[in-house]
Amino acid sequence: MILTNIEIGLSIEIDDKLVGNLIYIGKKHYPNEFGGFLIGNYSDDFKKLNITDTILPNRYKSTPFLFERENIGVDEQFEKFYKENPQKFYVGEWHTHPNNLPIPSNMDIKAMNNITNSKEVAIQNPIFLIIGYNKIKTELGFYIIFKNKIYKYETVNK
Amino acid sequence: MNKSEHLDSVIKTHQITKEEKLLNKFRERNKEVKDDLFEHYKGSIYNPFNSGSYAKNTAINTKFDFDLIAPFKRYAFGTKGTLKEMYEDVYDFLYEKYKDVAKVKKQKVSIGIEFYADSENDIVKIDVTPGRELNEKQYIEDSKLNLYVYSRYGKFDAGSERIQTNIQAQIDSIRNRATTEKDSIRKIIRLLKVWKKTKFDYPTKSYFLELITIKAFDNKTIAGNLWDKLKTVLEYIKDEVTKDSFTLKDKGNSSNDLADTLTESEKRTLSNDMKNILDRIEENDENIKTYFPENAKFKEDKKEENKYQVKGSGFFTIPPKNERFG
Amino acid sequence: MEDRLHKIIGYVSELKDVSIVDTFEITNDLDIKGAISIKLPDNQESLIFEVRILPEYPLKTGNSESITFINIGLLKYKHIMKSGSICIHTSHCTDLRKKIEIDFNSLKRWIWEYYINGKEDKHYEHLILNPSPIKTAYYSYLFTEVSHSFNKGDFGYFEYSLMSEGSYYGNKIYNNVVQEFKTKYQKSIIQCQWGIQIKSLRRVSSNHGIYIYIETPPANFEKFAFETWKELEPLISQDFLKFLYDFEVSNKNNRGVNIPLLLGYKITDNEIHWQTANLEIGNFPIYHKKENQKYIGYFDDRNIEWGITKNCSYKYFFGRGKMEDKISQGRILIIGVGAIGSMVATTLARGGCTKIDVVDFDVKEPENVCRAEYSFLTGINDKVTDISNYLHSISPFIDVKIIQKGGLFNSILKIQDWEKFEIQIHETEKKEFFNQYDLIFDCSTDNDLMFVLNQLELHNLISMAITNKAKSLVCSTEIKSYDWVINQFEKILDNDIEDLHYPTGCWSPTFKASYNDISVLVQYALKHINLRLSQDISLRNFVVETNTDNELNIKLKEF
Repeated sequence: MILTNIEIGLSIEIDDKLVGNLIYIGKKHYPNEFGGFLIGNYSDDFKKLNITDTILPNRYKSTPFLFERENIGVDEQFEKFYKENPQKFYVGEWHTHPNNLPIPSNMDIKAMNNITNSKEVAIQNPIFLIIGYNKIKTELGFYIIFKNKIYKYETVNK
Repeated sequence: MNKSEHLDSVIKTHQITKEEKLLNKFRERNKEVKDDLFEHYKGSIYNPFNSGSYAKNTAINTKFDFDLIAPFKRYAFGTKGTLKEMYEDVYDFLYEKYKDVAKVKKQKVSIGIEFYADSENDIVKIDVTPGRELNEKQYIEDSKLNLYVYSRYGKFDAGSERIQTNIQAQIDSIRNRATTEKDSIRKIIRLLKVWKKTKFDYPTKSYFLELITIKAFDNKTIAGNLWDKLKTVLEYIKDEVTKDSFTLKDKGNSSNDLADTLTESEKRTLSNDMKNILDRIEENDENIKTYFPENAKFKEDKKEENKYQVKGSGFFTIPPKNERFG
Repeated sequence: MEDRLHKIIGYVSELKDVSIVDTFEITNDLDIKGAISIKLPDNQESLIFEVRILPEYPLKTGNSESITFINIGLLKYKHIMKSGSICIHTSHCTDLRKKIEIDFNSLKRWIWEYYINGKEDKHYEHLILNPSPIKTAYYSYLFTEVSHSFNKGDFGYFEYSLMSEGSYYGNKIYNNVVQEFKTKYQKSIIQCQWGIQIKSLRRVSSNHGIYIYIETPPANFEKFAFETWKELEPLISQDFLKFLYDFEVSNKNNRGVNIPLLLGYKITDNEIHWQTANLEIGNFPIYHKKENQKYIGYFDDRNIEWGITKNCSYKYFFGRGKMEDKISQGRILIIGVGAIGSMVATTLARGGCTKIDVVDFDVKEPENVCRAEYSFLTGINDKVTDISNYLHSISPFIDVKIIQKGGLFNSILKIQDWEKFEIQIHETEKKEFFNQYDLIFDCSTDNDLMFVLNQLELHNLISMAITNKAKSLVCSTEIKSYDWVINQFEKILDNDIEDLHYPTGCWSPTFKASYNDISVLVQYALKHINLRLSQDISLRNFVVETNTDNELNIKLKEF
């Protein structure tokens, strides 16, 4: 699917199969939250982000209202993706909100700011996907911090 | 951020041709006032002419500066008529003529006619400066005029009749330099006017900024990109304007010193403002937008330029260690 | 001990122009006592001083010098105590030899300035006297100058109010403020120049204070206050003695009541000082004789019980420091007296402002106290009432006006959607209201209000707000600064809005910061404003930023 934010004129493309996979993995941890890293690359004009894969954390803590991931033991996987042609790299993170909407909590916004501003992160605009779900419905929220403001992407087509 | 690119965009978005429609409204009102003056003072007045930045080729589209000079004959207000009487008479005439459609008010040496907003919410303002030739028919020879100072104007007290100048020479001197050096002098003058517009009711006259810019170019090596040039001029103003020896000769009358149009306090403030601009932009490029804003009305849609970016050269990232989501 | 004595003797003998004329020895109190003579520059004459050095020397004892030089014959000179000890003020020094040298030099300087050259100091030195308690308590009378010139011999009543009780060197003290001078027929002459709050204190019954203007100080050598009433006699008239006599007779039912007597005298050409002495009804220090059927009054030789007086006029009250006249003499409006506004208010009050109006529709709760200029003791209280009382407690000259709810502030101020013909009327009304002030401090952190004030193009508006955790203070001083302020908060400054303090209950969260965090910024900002006004440079918007990565750094960025 392709998502766009009209205000900033940037978009995201993510494979529907990958989305299905993330939802499936996320729901397996019900009632706890879960999440991981997003892998992908940019189009030649740097106006579109392609999200292609995920890397799941080796170590994490999770409860129905908290997901804390570490970055231990994932280096090799990142390096492997980076050696592929075309190169793929860390483009953001995803996590679930069981029984809730995909709206960032205060803690989420803080983490998004931390990651965006982190010196260790090479890209300027990491993407944050929140998967909100309950028994009958699943909703996705893609967010970006662009020039210090939070923007949400909207679906253009499926 | 590229400061020179931004400054170029500031100039571009402030081009008067971008406001053709509004410009025409100014032109029409300007003609109307000019005709009314000529008609009313028939026989006592020479041709009113424009002296503002529009005439000098240094205008910006947020402030057209349509200044109209009304050159009166020596005995237009009687053989014993004073400059004060001239000023008051012109004010009374303009007030009666325009009071229903405009705010007419006395200013430092001119009379401001601010027309009420029209249906498109545009406001047109014309400043009329009455002046009188020094001796009968002398204006035809030397273009010199005496002005009346209505309210304190720098070191000139209210009621002073000391300002005597050749406005045509003023216009020509600026216009020539601004036209021949349009990539340097004209751009800097326009930028300074954009800055001045960000300050409410700034005491420094446009003519002052024009002259000091030219003086900076005459006294300093001003080179490099647009930001470098602007920076050098700002530094020049900062350093020079508070010096005791600082003068700015009026090109219309070399015994007039434009430095006298500012009080000591106003000079200190101007110098301090230049320092602040330089310091703040030095600290953070973004601040350039505070002092030199683009005209939002004509800002091209910037979203076309947005891109995903990297901070350094590579893309490779190991994500930061513990992060908590809720 | 002996060793110290010998050292001192040794050091003193080494001094130029100083010789020991009476051997230094240790007294029973462990002091060292002796006498020295100092040769004057002309070599003709020498002055002899008794020297007493306390055991603490070269350190001070309490707050006084631990060395004294005494010559009772020099009382008529300046800066000498009644005991004959010279007032020397010297520097701190812990080395015995150096300290002796410093102190003797200081004595020589006194001799040079006051004994030889008869220097007159520019500033006035008050009379030297020891206030005495009445029974066990002290009484003070605080006054201001008044715009009335008294003639020698003028007397009458004065009115005063009891302001507070407290302690004075461990004893009880009653602090009174002088309110008004009246003639002996109880006709008002002039009031002291207090602010409205002090003026409205309840007055002690109207005829319980007496004053007389005697013009010259009731003192010997113009500095040692008289000890007995008898000494006063030459300075007062028979009229006044008769007045005292009649007063005591007509008040005989109030036996034992104390009546303060203010004695006024000139200290400069246009300044009067008042000194108070106590009179007790039934025990006035007067007697009289009839000579040729005529009343002739006298004072007896009982001791005068001097009280405490203080000239608290504006120039003395703020004598140690005030803000620029452009601030202190101006009419001020403070909008919002929360943490920032209350600090601005108290700083201005202490800075000499006397006309401060306040507006705030909020109520002070106990949890406001920890970081604003409020006291717990006043409990739950409208902020404007509370701050008004507090400001009045700081400055006796301040008049605080509370802008009432229901006025301009919550009727027309924020309404935007007027009919065309109404716009001008309301704008004029608003401008008139705000233009009556020389300075307006908007400390409301109300963006809507800032937006509205911005439209009015006020030239006298200063708005102050703080980012979370008091990292920065944003202060706008220029006309039409709304966009600048919003831009600072949204784009430029690191304003962490996730970590706010959420009070229990359902109201808006507030930023986290302590009194210390906020006041350091507010004071920095006010000092900058004060500085720019004194330099006659127009005020510009500015930000005060702190950096606490390492040691505290504060930087002011003027735009």
